[in-house]
Amino acid sequence: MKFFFRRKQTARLKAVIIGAGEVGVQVADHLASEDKDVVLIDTNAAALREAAESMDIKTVHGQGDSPVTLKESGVERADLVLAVTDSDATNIIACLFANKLWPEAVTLARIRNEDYTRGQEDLINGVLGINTLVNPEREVVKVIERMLSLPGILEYNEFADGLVKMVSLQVDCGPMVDLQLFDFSKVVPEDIIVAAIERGDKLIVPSGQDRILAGDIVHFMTLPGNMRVLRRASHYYDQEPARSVFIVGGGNTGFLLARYLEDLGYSVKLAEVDEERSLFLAEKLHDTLVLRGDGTDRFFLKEENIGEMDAIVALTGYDEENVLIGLLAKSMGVGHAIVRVNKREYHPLVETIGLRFYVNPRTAAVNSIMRFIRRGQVMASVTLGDDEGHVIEIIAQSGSRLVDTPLFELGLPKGSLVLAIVRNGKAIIPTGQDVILAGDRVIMLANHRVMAKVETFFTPLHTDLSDGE
Amino acid sequence: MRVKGVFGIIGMLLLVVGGATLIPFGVAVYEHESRVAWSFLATMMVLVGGGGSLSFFLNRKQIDELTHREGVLTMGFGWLVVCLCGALPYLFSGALTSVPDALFESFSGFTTTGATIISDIEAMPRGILMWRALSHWLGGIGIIVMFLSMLPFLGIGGAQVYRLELPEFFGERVTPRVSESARVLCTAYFLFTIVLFWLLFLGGMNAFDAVCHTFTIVASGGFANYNDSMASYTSPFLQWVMIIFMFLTGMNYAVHYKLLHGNLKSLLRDEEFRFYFLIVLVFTLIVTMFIAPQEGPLAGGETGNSFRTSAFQVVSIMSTTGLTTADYTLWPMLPQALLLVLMFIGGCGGSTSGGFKCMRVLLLLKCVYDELVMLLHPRAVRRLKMSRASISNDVVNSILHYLVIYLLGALICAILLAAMNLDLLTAFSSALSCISCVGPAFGLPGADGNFAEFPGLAKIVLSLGMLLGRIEFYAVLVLCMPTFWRE
Repeated sequence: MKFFFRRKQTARLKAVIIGAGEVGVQVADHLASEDKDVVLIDTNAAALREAAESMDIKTVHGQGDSPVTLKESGVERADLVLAVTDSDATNIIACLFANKLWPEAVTLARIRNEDYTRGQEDLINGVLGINTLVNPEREVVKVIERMLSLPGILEYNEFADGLVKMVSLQVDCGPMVDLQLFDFSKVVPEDIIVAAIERGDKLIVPSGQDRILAGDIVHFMTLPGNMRVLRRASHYYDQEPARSVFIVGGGNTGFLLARYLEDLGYSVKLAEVDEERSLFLAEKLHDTLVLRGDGTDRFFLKEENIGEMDAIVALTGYDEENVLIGLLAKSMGVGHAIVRVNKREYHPLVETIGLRFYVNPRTAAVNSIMRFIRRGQVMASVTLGDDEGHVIEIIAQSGSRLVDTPLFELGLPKGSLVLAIVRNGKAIIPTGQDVILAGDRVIMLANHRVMAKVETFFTPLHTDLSDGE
Repeated sequence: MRVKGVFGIIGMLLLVVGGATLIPFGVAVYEHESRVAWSFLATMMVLVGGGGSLSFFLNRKQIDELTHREGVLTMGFGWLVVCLCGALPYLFSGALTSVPDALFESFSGFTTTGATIISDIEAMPRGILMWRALSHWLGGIGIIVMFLSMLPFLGIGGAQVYRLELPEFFGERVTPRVSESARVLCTAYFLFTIVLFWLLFLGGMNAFDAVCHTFTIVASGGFANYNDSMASYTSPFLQWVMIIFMFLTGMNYAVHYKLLHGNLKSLLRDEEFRFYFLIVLVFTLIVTMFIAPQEGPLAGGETGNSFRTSAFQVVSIMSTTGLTTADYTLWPMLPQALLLVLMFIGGCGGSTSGGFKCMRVLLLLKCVYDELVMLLHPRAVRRLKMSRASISNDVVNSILHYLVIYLLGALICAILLAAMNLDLLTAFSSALSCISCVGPAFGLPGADGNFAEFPGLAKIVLSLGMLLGRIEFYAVLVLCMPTFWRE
């Protein structure tokens, strides 16, 4: 019987994605690999062909904001409409038409312009009725701030309103190297566990036999208050949080970052080449020192005393330039270099040349979109590694297979792991004997290949009957 | 130039002032000062007659079409006419016999300066004392309404900064906006008047003194009913009440208006207010440090109150009220120099205070700071800001022009005084004090702001100085604007 219900549940959620840019393709890839019906719309035929070759999706060539194209894509039976082109206006209009054509569909628009974000209420409620907006730049800004305030930490995420934290560190030396995970609790307190290990481009969901090797990126799950212990164990303790930050590139992200940081009391310098843009920035930013200059200019960096600054953040539109700025600033003695790299192909290279910290706005956008798609049951979703794994936070529902059974008897698929259970405002790092109760918040890790299978565990069985085809 | 409209408005002003003479008239009748009562009756007849015939010209349409430039010119002329007419009761009643004396007292009253030429104030009839205080109070309303409802639209002297403060009063034409904003701004003014009266009355002042001193403080004027200004009120309660209210009158009334609507955040965000508060605080502490060692004689003959005395003097001079509780000319030189600086700075724009105004000083200081930043960071891109809003270069330019005119005005005034053989300290400090509408000065007038011994011509020069300072040279500047004549 259970087998039968599971089949029903995974059947055919239909998503229309407008925009075959990096975000669109990424989201399409995710959904397709989870056995969803995906239609991708774009004006760029080449991009569509490329996407269709690598994924099992349908593509439609045309303007995403045109009702004709939308009809052609079959929006009238879609569950989800995701408008993620680079143009805010196109996204908004596409959502409006989708709403008109098929009011049942849940619509999402990717919005970059701050002004629209301010008018969020109007866009979401009222006549416009777009269901949600994602602003990837905002996510990026928060991620960068965490990197600055917690040096040595590659990624940082909070779950269950901050009761559980996930911290990713590169382990090079210290007591954790070559440690078998059985013995892990001899080195650190018991409320820290290893959620996943990233080695090269492989993501390992560990068991007790696995070891941490030097150079691994380790994702730890921890209760609050263990940050110092972790950083000491990984020998990052000597690095102080950054207070002075030099941002290169006053685009949307650079501007938002400067504003976010100056509000938090950082000392911020922001370099922008374009004269008009720099005037705009000087007007909108209050405590940031706006400079007109080229971040790749050695003398400019020297003039602004880059060697004395704690961190440089390179956010120009060109990956290559960002990497060069990072290297140049490093050679001049800056504390950290955080560079934006959009092209996936560059990621391993960036790591090799010693720029450890890179931010990928695409990942942030995909994270927030996936989080939205899983809404209802899933409170938060974070991707790990190169989208190899997801950490999701769900509320265990009564009637689902997850509850009332000890973890070791659940039979969760290999490649998935229950990381933490939050009950009545208290978080526990579970062992095999622990039992999940209905209403608990559960934080789980799942390899993307088993994601669809894992989803069946937290879906209540009886709703399947009523929703069944 | 719509002459009829201008005359009509001046006529209305005269009618209002004429009506106001009923108050001192009533006081005079109550006190059985028959000659004073008759003089007010005569003044009222002149004002009402003149005002009535002028407002005969009043033409609704023409007033509606009045532009801001014409509006300011009207205010300039109006102020002049009211000041001239205000001298009548002094002359009619025989309280003052010379014309320059009467003019000086009237100008000093309506411009809320508070300098006097009466050597024995306590001997004056009560009706006249009431008239002096009332002229402050009327002048106070005039300046708030003028500064906040008309000047922001002219863009002279950087007043356009305040355009941001008053989004709801936006408009090109004067009248409907003026009456609306006047109503709103006067709410705070009336409220202060009522609250302050009760506090002074409860603090032990007799009703008559409480009314007069309320008028004088709310308008940041400076006329007191006693020869030694406020020195006879030694009660700490009364002094603190006066300090607080003098401080309040030095604040922008647009801010008061927002405060009354419960918008406390706007106060903390207002950079001009923060600057004003900081200066008051720092200067008070420095002055306290300097006078504390010789507390007894310097701080009004009592010990233990040097902080209060310093605060009173600093707030009084900075808000350009000009009341005193101690003779600051006996203080060490540094506190005196600081008070002289405060005479120049003055209170915030949109208040009843005079002076160069905190906003302008702050903006110029910011310009200097930006220049220094540019030296350190040659490629920095700076935008001048006030309370987080961008300020254009035009504003800075007009403030610089205003600075030149202000200093030039004070300089010419001082040189004219020196030409009448007054000593340098007297000449310069009196000129600054009058143009900033403070009242007391250094040298001959001293801390009581008594200009009785000045030659008659000097009194006329200072009267004009007060008027020009009060209307911020605008009427003159407007006349200098080429566009004014072109249209």
